[in-house]
Amino acid sequence: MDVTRLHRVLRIITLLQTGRPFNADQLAAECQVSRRTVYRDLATIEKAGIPFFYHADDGGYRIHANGLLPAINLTLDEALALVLLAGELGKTGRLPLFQPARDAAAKIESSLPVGLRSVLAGLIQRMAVRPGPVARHNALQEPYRLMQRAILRQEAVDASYISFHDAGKIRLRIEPYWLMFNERAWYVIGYSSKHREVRTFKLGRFKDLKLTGTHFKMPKDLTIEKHLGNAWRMMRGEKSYDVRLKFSPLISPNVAEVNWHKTQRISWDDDGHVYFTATVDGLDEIVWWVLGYGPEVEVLEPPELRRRLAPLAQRMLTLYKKA
Amino acid sequence: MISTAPRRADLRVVRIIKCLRMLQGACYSVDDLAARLSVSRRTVYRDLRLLGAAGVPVVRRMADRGLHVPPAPL
Repeated sequence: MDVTRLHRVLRIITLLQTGRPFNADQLAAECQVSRRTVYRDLATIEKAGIPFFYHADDGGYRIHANGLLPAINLTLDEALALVLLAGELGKTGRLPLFQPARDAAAKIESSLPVGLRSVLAGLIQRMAVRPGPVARHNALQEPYRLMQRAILRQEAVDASYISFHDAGKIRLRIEPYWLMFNERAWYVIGYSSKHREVRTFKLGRFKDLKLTGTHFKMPKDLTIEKHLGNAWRMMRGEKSYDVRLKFSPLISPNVAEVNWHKTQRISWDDDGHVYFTATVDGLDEIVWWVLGYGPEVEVLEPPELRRRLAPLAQRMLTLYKKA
Repeated sequence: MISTAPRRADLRVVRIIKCLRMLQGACYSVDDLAARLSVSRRTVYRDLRLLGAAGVPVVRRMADRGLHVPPAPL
């Protein structure tokens, strides 16, 4: 292939990018070729993924400056994923990370080539991503930033914390290891010198945070997966239990189609019951999940979980005795 | 032969423009480019020579020998 063709194609792209309209005759004159050659070059430019537009009113071709995403040529699927996920998650209140995700989605959307943008707009109206309800924590921005800084610098933080566990406001020093958004809220996982262990704290319950200037070292090889272990959600209990549940045929299909826990196993019997087994560290979280299915699930094992549920069921019965 | 020749030249121009747009946005090694454009390293070198001949400066970054095209109007 001789270089004149490439040179000419690049020249046409440059001309169209100026924003001034060029019609086929003008391009032919500029490049000293026939109109037919210009049309062939335009087809090549289109094939290379550079969108140009023909404006009927002045008969000119243009490349919209914002039609080019230099490094990132997003496919429709990729653009849709970013705009829909980031956009919808961003609607869930003004949460750190989510709000800027929404702003980024808007920027990406507006810089997409016009053709792609209109397809996307049509699809987005007909698609929804609905995240679960989130905590109404206000003013998270400042603790979020401070914790980020502390994690980056490995610097301990002094703060007050409203603890339900310790009943009231406590002062503590925390060495933050991770920021984690889990289902509903932002958490900080880190070593608390007051509790002498790695604990999980809700970001929204911190007050009066201060960087201490004291450097800390994270334990080697500690990962968030290791820390959470087989917790049902995020609060890992001390003891590990093999939980075995029997679900009624009414809800079995719904239970079986979800991956609730990384250790779960599902088996069916001929009557349509589902037997659900999982190895869970601690029962504090799973007890509420089981309770959510009311009489449609029975705990077969462990006895500890049965003993936790019995008094709760008793109390419910008392509540609703005279309906 | 006559009918396929322009088509092959066309594919080549399309590929070179894609290559150029990649190089305008980031640094790539020759191997990277070959993999992403599904051609041999030899073809990549030929394409880069053509780009140079067409007046586009392809620069090799000292630090990691990555190729890129410095920001300038395409």
